[in-house]
Amino acid sequence: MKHSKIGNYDTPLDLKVAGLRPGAILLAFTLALLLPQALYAVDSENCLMCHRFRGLARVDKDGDYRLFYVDEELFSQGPHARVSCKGCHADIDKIPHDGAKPVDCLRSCHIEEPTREIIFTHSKVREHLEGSVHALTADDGTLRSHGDDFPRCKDCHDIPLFRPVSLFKTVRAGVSDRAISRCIVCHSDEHFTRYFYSHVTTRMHKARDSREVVTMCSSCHADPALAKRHGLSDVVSSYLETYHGKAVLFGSTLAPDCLDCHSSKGNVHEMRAKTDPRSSVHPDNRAATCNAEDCHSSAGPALASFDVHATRNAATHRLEFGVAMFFVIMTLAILLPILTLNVLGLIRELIPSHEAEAEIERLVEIAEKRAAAEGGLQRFTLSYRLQHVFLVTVFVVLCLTGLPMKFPEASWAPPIYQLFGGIRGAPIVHRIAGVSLVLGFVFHVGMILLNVTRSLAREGKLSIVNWIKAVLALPMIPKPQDAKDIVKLVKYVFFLSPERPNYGRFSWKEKLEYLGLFWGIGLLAVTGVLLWAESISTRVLPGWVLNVCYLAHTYESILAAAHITLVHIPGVIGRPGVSPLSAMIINGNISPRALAEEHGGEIINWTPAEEVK
Amino acid sequence: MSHNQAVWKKYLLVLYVGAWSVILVAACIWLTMFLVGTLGDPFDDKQKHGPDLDAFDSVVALTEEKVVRYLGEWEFLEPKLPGHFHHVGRWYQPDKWNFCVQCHGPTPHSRAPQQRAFLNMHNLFISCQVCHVQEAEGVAPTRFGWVDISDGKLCANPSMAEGVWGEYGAKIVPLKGTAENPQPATLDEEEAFAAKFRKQVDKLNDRQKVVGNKLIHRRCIEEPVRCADCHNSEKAYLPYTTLGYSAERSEFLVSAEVADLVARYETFYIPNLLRTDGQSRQQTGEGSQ
Repeated sequence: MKHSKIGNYDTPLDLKVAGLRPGAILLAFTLALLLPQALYAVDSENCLMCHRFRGLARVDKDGDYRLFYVDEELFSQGPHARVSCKGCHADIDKIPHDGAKPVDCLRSCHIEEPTREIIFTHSKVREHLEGSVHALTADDGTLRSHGDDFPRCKDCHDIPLFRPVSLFKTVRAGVSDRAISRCIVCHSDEHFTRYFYSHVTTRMHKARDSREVVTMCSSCHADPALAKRHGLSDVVSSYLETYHGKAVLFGSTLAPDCLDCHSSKGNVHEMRAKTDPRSSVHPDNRAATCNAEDCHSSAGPALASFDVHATRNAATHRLEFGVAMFFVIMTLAILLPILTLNVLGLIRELIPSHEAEAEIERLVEIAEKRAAAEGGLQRFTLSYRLQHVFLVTVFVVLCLTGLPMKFPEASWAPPIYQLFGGIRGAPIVHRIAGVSLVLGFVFHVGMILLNVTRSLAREGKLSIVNWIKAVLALPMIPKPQDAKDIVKLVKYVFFLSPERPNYGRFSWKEKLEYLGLFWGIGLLAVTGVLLWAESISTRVLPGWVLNVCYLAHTYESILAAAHITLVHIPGVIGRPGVSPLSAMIINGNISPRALAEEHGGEIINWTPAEEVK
Repeated sequence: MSHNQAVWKKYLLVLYVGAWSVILVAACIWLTMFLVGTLGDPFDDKQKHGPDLDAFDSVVALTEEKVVRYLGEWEFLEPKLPGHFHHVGRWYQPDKWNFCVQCHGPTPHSRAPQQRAFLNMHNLFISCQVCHVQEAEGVAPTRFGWVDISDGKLCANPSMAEGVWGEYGAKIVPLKGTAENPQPATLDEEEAFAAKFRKQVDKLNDRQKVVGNKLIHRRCIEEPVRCADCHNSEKAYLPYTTLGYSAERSEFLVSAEVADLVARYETFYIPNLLRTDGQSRQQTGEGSQ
């Protein structure tokens, strides 16, 4: 859209500047009012003759790049489109322009405020700013220290642009042609109508996208030096750790940005310190802010104790630090020893002991005989293979919809998230996958316990004691032998013993993984549901529990993902001779060599003792 | 299995185990650093990188930093210019050909306070040689054409549709060679010297630098072409219509409106590029265009 250059109609104030007589001004003003709106050429001074060139720039002596270019198209798409250049740059009245002063945003413009036919001005903002946390003077009138740090208009605002919305049957971005077609029945100038429509509807929702708002606030609040001068914490990082912040980063227009919580009833210039009783984030008002109609309206007032700006700083957030520390230690304590043993085990595979080699060859021979006799060695039944496929699928979906949420600023996160519908779809998919995982796990455990019960019933030995004994005897339950196997493995990989451990049906690593599922799925399910149903959970629990839930959920997810990718996958399919994929997960059969190497104890168990000797 | 096969198998196994080991060790280190890094105050981490320098940010912003404007139905990416109120939309196409720009940058004029922004604006579509270089002392170029700013090759007159003010992807350049086979009047020797000079400048002493600098600029004229030389209705330096400007635009460029504007600015300007006593005659002062 380009500005039409029809005529050179100066606004009344321009005429004054030109030194014309009041009568002429009145005549010109009257004529101007009678003219169609389109004739109010904004660039009546023809400033764009020069300022439409993108290269109109210089570098001043301080090294500041000064660009004098004005993008006509962008300029015409905002509420300032009808303000002439001199409306703001009032002191520029000759060519060459010399000594132009910074624009005073609170001055009176050359346009009329339509409701009262007075000259428009932003000067009211001055009153709103008084007493706000961003004002240069405190409530008692004293100047605040580090005055240069306090924001001027241009620090928060660049020239605004319209973000019109259509509100017919659904709310969507853009101008409603239906509405326009009705407007132009009376207001025949479509250009004006669209402008007016855009102006009004922009004000009916967020005038700026949440991402822009967060970026704008971050320009000061993410600056450590500035924050230190004013005794502030890193509110940006902590906000971006919350679901609010992550959703905003993924482009959600519904998630709250800084202004939604910190500005009183939408007047962003009246932002007050959290210690000010008038502040929307003052402890007394926080519940009302969180429970606002458009936000967590059905949540309990306890939600207000959820700390949006919680960090893991031991000095300021002991609880969060403690929880995070617990998970960090647990994760590293589990993964690092296992990974060390895995790496050393791989190296030991290159330099096996003669005894271990001979033992494996002997067991392979036995296993091959049995495989030939039985037509293969089945390790997993169809039912277990299907359960594994289900678990893999659900786990992958949970990772793909969860990890981007954990790392929303990573370049890979948005495209992956978009595969699942972005911020609108992916959280729903994540929850469905989470519920499926819990149901699948309950089914798995239920099936095993049912089999134990049936087996005991068939043998006529069904009693609680026998049932517990049978459950503890299940092959996935750790036994004292597992501790011995660990010691044997450590000795073997450190070349302290030539004897390689022969695991039974399940090794200690597999048992650890299996038991980890009980801990992991349980913890993720509980914390996930509490976070998901924050409206219900905060009716019975304090809001800070959600801080703990978030930390537990996120750290446990990392542990699970790291364990699967670093321990399970390399340990199971990364072994030489198995990579890239073991056929076992497809057909359930294990090769005699793999069985001898990984579960030699099982071969020993089904071989007569004297033959083994 | 032959002996060779066995040896190869052993090598592959070593390679395989080595690769897995490196991956797992690297993963262990990363995971440990990541998890430990999640503890503590996020500001502590940022402060380790030292304070941000406004001037440095400003320089970086000119080339790298971008900001997205999300407007619902559409969004656009524009350079982040600290303290700039108007939207820029995008950056202009860089001149990859002209070797002067490599040192002087896309905003080379900085001396004449009243004119520098105007002169820089002309830099969008006029190469430095047009105003600052002559083939021989006192012999001003008379033939001009366009070169593509991406490869420096002569190209046809660009489209000058309304809305692409000065951004034609091409720049006006003086021509040399015959009328049938015109070539851009380039500074091949100086360019080759400048390339070498730039590579070794850190090793040169002050005298060598001064001499090298003189040599690179030896064909620059003392008094460059002035604004009024092009923007006058008598005898314009540039042949606008031949260069593809419409009759209307050509007329406008030499019209009284533009000539008057130019005259107002030239009153304040004394061309003094490379003049030894230039600094003393230069009007200085900031805050004006």
